[in-house]
Amino acid sequence: MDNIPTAHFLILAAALLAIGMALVLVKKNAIMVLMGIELMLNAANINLVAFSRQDAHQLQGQLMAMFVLVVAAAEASIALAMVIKVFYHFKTLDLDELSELKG
Amino acid sequence: MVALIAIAAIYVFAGADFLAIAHIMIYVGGVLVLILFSIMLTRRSDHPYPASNNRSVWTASIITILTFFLLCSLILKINFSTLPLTASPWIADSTAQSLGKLLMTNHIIAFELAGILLMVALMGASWIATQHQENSENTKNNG
Repeated sequence: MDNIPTAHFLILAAALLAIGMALVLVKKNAIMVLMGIELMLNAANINLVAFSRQDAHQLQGQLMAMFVLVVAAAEASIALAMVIKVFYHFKTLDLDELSELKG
Repeated sequence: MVALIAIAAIYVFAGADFLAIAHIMIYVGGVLVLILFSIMLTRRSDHPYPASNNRSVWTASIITILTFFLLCSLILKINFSTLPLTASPWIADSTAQSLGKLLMTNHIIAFELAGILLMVALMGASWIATQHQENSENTKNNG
């Protein structure tokens, strides 16, 4: 357990990215799509942290992952506020029905 | 929630203990509560919740599986022996101290910008969620 190979982290992150992308592509509900985006951001974070082990004195990967975490939190708050506004305005969260801007 | 805690455990395995704690605090304490609140606020009693999937489930799953196997084949081709691990994750102390030093010295501008971004995001989220209640009701009545 001392040295987990970096490839295992990368494969786990690829699986997480695939699951997040499946959520974004498949789900109709806007909140589910947001959760898929969070999963994809977490996959990127796992990659950054895994490669940060090769750089133990500078820790740049962990710093970058921390800023990604900050941006993800900001994105989640903004996006959920927008989801609530969209729901109050259109009375639905079905992404196929929110087609008012479609030309 | 189990998946989020498991990701924090992965961070611990990768030797990023401060990041794991920050992840648990932000996601389980913040984002999960936000998601639960928005699910509660957008639930309608007269209408079944639109939890069903799209029509293009098969296309989406084929694209996803292809992406996963493409990434896996690329990852398995990499020769990681050219990138030796500089430190074992269990020997090093907590990374909180070195992360704090780096944030306050080398990355101070990014740190301050992240603070400003968080403040603007909070103000913007509260502004978006509270503004123009009467406008939306007018459009609803007109439409």
